[in-house]
Amino acid sequence: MNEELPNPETTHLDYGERSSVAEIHAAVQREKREPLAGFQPVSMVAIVIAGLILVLGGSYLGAYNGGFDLKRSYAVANYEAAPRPVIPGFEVKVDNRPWIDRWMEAGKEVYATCAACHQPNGNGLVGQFPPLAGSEWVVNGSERVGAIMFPGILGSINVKGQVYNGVMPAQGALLSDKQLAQVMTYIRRSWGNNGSIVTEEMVKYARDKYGSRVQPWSEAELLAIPGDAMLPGAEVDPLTGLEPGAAPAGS
Amino acid sequence: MTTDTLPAVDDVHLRARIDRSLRFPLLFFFTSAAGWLCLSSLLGFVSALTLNVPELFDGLPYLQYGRLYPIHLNALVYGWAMQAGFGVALWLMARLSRNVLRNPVTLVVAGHVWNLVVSVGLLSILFGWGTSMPWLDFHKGICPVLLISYISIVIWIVGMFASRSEKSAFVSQLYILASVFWFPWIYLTANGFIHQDGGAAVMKSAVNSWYISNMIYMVLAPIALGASYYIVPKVTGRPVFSYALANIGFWSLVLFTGWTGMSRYMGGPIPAWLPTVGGAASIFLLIPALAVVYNQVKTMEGKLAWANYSPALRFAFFGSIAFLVGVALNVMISTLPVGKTLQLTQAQGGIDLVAIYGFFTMTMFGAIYFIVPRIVGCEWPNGQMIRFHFWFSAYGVGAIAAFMIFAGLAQGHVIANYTEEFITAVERGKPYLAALAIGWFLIGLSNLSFIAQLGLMVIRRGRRDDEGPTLIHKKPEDYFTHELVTEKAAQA
Repeated sequence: MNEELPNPETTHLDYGERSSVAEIHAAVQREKREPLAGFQPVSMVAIVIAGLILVLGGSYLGAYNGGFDLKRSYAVANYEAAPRPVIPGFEVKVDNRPWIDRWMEAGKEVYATCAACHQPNGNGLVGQFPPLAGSEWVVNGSERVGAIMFPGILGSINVKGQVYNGVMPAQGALLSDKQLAQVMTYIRRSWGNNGSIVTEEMVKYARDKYGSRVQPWSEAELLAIPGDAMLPGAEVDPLTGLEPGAAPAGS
Repeated sequence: MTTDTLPAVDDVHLRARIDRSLRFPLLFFFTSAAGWLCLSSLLGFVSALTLNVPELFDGLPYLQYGRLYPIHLNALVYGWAMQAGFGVALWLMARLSRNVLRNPVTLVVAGHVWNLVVSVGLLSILFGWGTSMPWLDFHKGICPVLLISYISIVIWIVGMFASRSEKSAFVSQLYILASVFWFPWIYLTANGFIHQDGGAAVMKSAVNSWYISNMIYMVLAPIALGASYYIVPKVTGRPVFSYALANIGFWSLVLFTGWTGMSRYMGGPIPAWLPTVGGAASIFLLIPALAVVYNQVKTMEGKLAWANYSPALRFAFFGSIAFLVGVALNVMISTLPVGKTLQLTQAQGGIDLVAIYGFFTMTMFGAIYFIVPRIVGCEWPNGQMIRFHFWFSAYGVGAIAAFMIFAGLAQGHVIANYTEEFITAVERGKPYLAALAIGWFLIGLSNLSFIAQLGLMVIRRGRRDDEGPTLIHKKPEDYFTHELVTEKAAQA
C-alpha cells in the first residue's frame, strides 16, 4: 500500500483520484460546514424531568442502602435468608451433642497412647501395669494426676492394694494442654470413675508448676501432694464447655 | 436558520487533506474491525446453536459453548467495537481539531499490534487459558500488552486535540477524550483487582460487572455519541439544538457511569449498598440518555424524514434511540422491582446487546457509511445493500433482545426460588434460545453485505458516476421543494 505522508503542496493521484479538484472530493465538497452548537437554553420541562429522575434514583438509594453497612448483604425489610443449600457429598456435619461428650471423645482418641499399658478398658495388666479404673490416684484430686503427667513415675507404687514396680513415661512434652486436659478428663470419668472435668486452664497451671521437673516422681513424693487437691481453674458447664453464665459463642 | 451554505473552498481543501492523511489507518481499522465482526457474528450463531443442541460438538473441547461464547464476545468488543471506535474517533478528532494526522504509518503499525494482541488473546481462550471473567477473558499475560497497544493508538487522538487549531471544543471531542482516558483506568483497575493474589472472590465478580458497565457506558458509548453528535448536525446542516443540553448530557454521563455495574449482583453476598448504588446510578443514566435523544430529535426537527435516505443519518438515529432503550432496559434489570426476577438470566445478555449492538455498533455503521466515501473518493456501490444491512441488523438485534428478555422472565422466578432445581430454570429458558441463533444468523448475513461493500470500497470499486451520494432509497423526483434543491447534494 502507498503510505506516504500526505503533502499539502502536491496533489496525490493515488487511490483512483482524478486531478480536477471539483471532481475529486465530491463527498467532501458537498458537505456542510463542521457542526456548530446552537444556544437554545435548557427548558424548564427538561430540568423538572431531570429533577424527577434524581429524586427517583435518590429514593431508591435511600430505601435499599442497608445502612451502608459493609457486613450486610441484604437491604430489604423482612429479609429471610434461604437455608444452607444441601449439596450431595458436601454435607456440613454440625455436632450438636453436649460439649462434654465431644471432650470425652477427643480424650478417648488421645488415650490410644495410654491404652498400650493401661489397656483400653482401663484395668491395666495384673502385676505389670496398674489399673486406672477405680484407681484412687486418678479419681480423687486432679492435682496428683496432673503432676504425674509431667515427669512420670519411677519405682514402686501401691494402687488399689497391689504394688506395681515400673516406669510411667512423661507425657507433658508430647501432648498439648488441650490434649492433656481431654485425656485426663477421659480417665477420670470413664469405666465407672466419677472425677471432675479437667480444663485447659487447669493443665496450664500444672504445666507451669511441674513442667520443668526432670526427676520422675516416687510414691513418697506423690503422697506429699494432698489427695483431694484440685488443680485451680474455673469449673465449666458440661453442656457448653463454658463457665456457667457465660454467653454462648456464636459458632 | 440559514446554515445550509456550502463551505468555503479553503475548508474543502483542509478537509480533503485531513481525510487523505487518515486514509490508510482508517481503512485498516475499519476492515480489520469488520473482519472481527463477521467472525464474531459467526461464533455468536454457532455458540447459540450449541445452547440449543448441547451435544452438537461432543468430544471437541474447542467447540464448546464455554469457549465459543467468550471468543464471540471478546472478538465483538476488542476486535470490532474498539477498532471501529479507533477509526471513528481518529477521524472525528482530526476533523473537529482541524488537524492533519502526521504519522499514519506509526498508527497502522500500532493497529497491527492491536490485532495481533487480540488474536493471541482469543487463541488463549480457545486453548482453555481464559480467565472466565466476562469481557476480561484473555489470559492475564495479555493485559499489559493490550493496554500499551491501546495507549500507543489513542495517544495520536489526544495529540491531535492538544495541537488543535480550532480552540473551542465541540461536544464530540469531549466525548472522545473521556472515552480514551476512561479505558486505561478501568482496564488497569479491573485487571489489577481480579488478578491479584487474595482478595474476596465475590468482590472480583462484582468488580468485573463494574468493568462491563463502564466499558459499555463510558468507553464505547461516548465514541458513538460523539459520532452521532457530529453526523446529525452535519447531514441535516443544522447546528446542534442546544449546547447546554449537550453539556448536561456529557457531564451527567461522566458523573454517574462510574457508579454503575455492581447491581448485577444485587442480593448477592456483597455489601448491600454496592448493588443499590449501582441501581441508583443506572436510574441517573436516564438523564444523559434523554438529553442526547431530545437534543438530536430537536436538531433533526422537520428533517426527520431524511433518515429514510441518508444511510449515516439512519444508522446514527437508530443508534441514539437504541441508547435510550438500552438505558431504560438497564434500569429495569439493575433495580430490585424487576431486576430481582431478571438478574442472572438470559435477559442480561440481551440487554447488553441492545447497548453494544443496537446502539454502539449501529452508530459505528452510520459513521463508517459517512466516512469511507470521503477517504477513498468514491461512493458506496449499492444503496439496496445498505438497506439490507440496516434491516437485517435491526431485526437481528431486536429479536435477540426481545426473546432474551422473555427467556429471562420465564427463568427468573425459578432462579429466585431456592426450592427449585437449577435445571428447571435452564429448561424454562430453552425454547427462546432458538431466537438467539436466528438473530445472530440475520446479523451475520447483514454483516456479510457490509464487509462486501467495504471491500469494494477499499479496492476502489465504488461508484464513480455523477449521481451524488448513495442513498438508501432513491428519492422521488418531486421530493425536493425549491428550497431543498441545494440540500439534495448535501446528503450522505
